[in-house]
Amino acid sequence: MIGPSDVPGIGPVVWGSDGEHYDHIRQREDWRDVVASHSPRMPHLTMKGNEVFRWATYEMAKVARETLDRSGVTVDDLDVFVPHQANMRIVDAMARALKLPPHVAIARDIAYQGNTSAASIPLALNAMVESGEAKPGDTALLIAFGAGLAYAAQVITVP
Amino acid sequence: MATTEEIRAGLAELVNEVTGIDADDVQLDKSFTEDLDVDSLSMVEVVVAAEEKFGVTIPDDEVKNLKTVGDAVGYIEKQQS
Repeated sequence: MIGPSDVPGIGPVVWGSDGEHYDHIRQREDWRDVVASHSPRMPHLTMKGNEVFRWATYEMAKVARETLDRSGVTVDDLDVFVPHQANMRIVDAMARALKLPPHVAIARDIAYQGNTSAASIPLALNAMVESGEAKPGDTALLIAFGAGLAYAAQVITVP
Repeated sequence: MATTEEIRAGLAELVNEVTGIDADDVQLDKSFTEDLDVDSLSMVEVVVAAEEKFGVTIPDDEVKNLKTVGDAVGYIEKQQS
């Protein structure tokens, strides 16, 4: 829950969508066709894995850098990095691409909860606060990405 | 203009950084998947690092054609010429 505060805790958001890659993650069948079919089955989700990995790692690293710039901080000012928990390989590759210094705690909640989709960042951040990996007042970079391909990132102070 | 051996050595360094594989094992006749055990996502990391290091572009569609270290070195040489 977000409420008024005397000190700034939420930095500017950098977000957008890269419609050129609309078909990288998509639903194969139209719901209307599925419903109208004689033996309706759930539509399939498909993903171009390597392409998504490349985009999520390197294009998102650019978005992350822009977010840091807009927030007036550098990777050295960060305490915590909480990317969307899509898979560990993206988390690791993105941390390498961003050249995060070793003191930055990196969310790896996917190891415990899997890919929790749109809830992954709040769940991962909460788990880090509970475990003491992240403390109130820490500077955290959050970055999410998914089908669309859509993305958003911002720097916050951990509440 | 980098020589074949310079490109191979540079690429071997990148493979080592991404996967931990000994750079000396990264020889022209080695297959990335069969011999070196580089999986498809590590391959993407190597490719992106190679693009930066050698100033070339290696599109996703091309990556699957680069089966051996020699294929990759050849592709980079062609792009640089």
